[in-house]
Amino acid sequence: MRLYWHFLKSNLLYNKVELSISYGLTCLVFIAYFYFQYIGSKLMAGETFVSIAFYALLYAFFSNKKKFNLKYLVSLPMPKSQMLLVKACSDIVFFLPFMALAFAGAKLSNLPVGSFTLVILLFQASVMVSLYLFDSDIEQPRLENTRASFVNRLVYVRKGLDSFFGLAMAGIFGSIIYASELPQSTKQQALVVCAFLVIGLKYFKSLKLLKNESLSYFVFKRDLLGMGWKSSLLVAPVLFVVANGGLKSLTPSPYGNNELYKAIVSNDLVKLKKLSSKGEKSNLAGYTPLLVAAQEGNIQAFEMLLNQSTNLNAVVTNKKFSGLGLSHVAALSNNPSMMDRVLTLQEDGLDLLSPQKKTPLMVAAQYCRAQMVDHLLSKGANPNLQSEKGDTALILAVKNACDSSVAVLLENKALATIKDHEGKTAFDYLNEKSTIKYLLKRKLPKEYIEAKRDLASKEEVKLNLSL
Amino acid sequence: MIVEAKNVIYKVPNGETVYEGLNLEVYQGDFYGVLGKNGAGKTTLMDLLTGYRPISEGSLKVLGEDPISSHRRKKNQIFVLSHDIQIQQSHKIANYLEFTSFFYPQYDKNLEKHLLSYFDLDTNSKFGSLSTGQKVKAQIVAAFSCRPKLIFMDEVTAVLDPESRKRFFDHLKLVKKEKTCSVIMATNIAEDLNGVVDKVLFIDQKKASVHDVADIRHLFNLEDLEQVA
Repeated sequence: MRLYWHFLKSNLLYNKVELSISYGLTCLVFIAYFYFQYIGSKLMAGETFVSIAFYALLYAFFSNKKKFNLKYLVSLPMPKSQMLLVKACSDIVFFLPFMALAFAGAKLSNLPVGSFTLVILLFQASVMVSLYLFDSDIEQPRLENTRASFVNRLVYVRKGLDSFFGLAMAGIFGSIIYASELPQSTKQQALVVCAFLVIGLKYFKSLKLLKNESLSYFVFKRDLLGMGWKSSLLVAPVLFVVANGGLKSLTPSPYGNNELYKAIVSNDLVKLKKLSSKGEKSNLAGYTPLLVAAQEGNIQAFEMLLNQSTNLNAVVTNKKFSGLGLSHVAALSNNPSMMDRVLTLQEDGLDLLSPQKKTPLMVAAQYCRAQMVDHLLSKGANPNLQSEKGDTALILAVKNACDSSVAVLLENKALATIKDHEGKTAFDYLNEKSTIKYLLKRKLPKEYIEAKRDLASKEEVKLNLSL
Repeated sequence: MIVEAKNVIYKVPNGETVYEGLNLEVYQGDFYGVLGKNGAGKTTLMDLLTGYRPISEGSLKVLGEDPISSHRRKKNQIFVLSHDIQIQQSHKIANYLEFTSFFYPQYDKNLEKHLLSYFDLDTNSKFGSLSTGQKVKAQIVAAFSCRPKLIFMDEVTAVLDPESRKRFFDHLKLVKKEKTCSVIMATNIAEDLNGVVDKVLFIDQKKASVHDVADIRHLFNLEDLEQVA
């Protein structure tokens, strides 16, 4: 412990100028943030902090480079394993500004990571950078004037490939954890544990490099073999994906990996018949097979499943579409024939309300299914019904920037003056630069537009006075 | 025995062989000079002795320990003085000495004070502002103040001015009299070794041989060259 403190103290006391610059600049960034907050400007947001943190990391990286050379460190009386760890941990003083800025940026950008976890992840990132820095010192051939000096240049190619390989592996594991169905807190803990494992691996690799001089050189047989299997590990998944239909095949199905659902989605009736007769488990990812067929708009599959006396009143039970019934999911298919078939089965299906009081028209409008919106309106769907939150189909279409649906709804007597439970009309949800602003404006009474204009000018005056 | 090398072979990984069968025995209080032509492998020998590089074959013990081993108990009795060592530019001489003293329990603060004035060094000067000679002098102060049992010196005298060089050798002679410290000094200035070292390790053609100091002129064919001149 004394050794750690000695290195940490030395870093703090002997690098006053460099540390003063980086800590001073960090303070200035925070002062600027609070100043802009005070004057009401949105110039400094979380993303700005994150980008500044990136430069702080670069500064820490370069200001920390070549402090002592390897020869000096090796000459000091301490074990090599400890030297490596001590140096990596004591370098944390150089990375603290980066950690502070990245922490502030992540919190201001509302990144869904707990504060404690974020601090640990940033600390781990700093240790990793420090170890990487150390490696760059060790990995150079220790004797330059050899006959094999040209071959030794290949060390840098090997190093580049190693870094790329490491990043790819970290990215893959990170993505797997991120995309998993685990709860948020478990995902974060898994990330922290994985990062510790990566640091451990990096540490042992650096130590090996420090002890074994031959690793600083490019030994043809050994390194070509190593590079070969690493390259194939990187390239093999890419080739596999390309051979199996590109990136699209990697996109997870909303219905899970069930074979029955796959057969419905691909309209493979033979396979579907075989699987349904086997009694394949049929309630994964919150869908029944009939709901999948309706949402996908596959009429033939729908008819086949219908013959097997499927429950017509089943609803989706997953998080995203919870409570949506047959006519709602048929609205998502954007296939008018599918909707017509469903409406023959469910007479009250046209304005059927989900538990959130959403009609099929609202669902179609919310998910930009303009053709379905048009079809439902022609069938007589009521465009002015309100959901549990007071949203009309028009408000939902505006909120989701579904311009075609907005235009169709306005053409079919959807009222622009209806307010939701927050007291806002569809006009209030319009984006400043929206191209359909005029379409809505002409449906609103003149008094409403003037009142809005007055309010805006008063707010501007208030802002100018406070400045 | 302080240093014991038996049939040491060193081959640069993926490169040429530098040593083929190096034998050396250094006892307590011995002062050895290491001489050889440029590129003969003087610095490489120092690297092998300090554990910066591992030997390829043979046996090498420094203070009874393998130099490449991670857990050396007696490393705090060894000091490495080299022109190749790079100290952080922002460190003052005082910082460097304080940082180094931590590792050597036997560090002599009084001697440090004496040597600083002896070599005319200002402790507040930063390494970034020092000349190469001054940097080496700061290392010399640290080396002697640590009171080690063994000092490796790699090409440190060539960058010193005549006065500092004289002071350095005068102090080295004092240390030699104490018989508590051994020194292995690699240099290109053969004259420096007169009256300071006991033996000379001459490196030539991938081999090392031990000679008396008086043989130096003969080793480098200096007599023949003088006749030609």
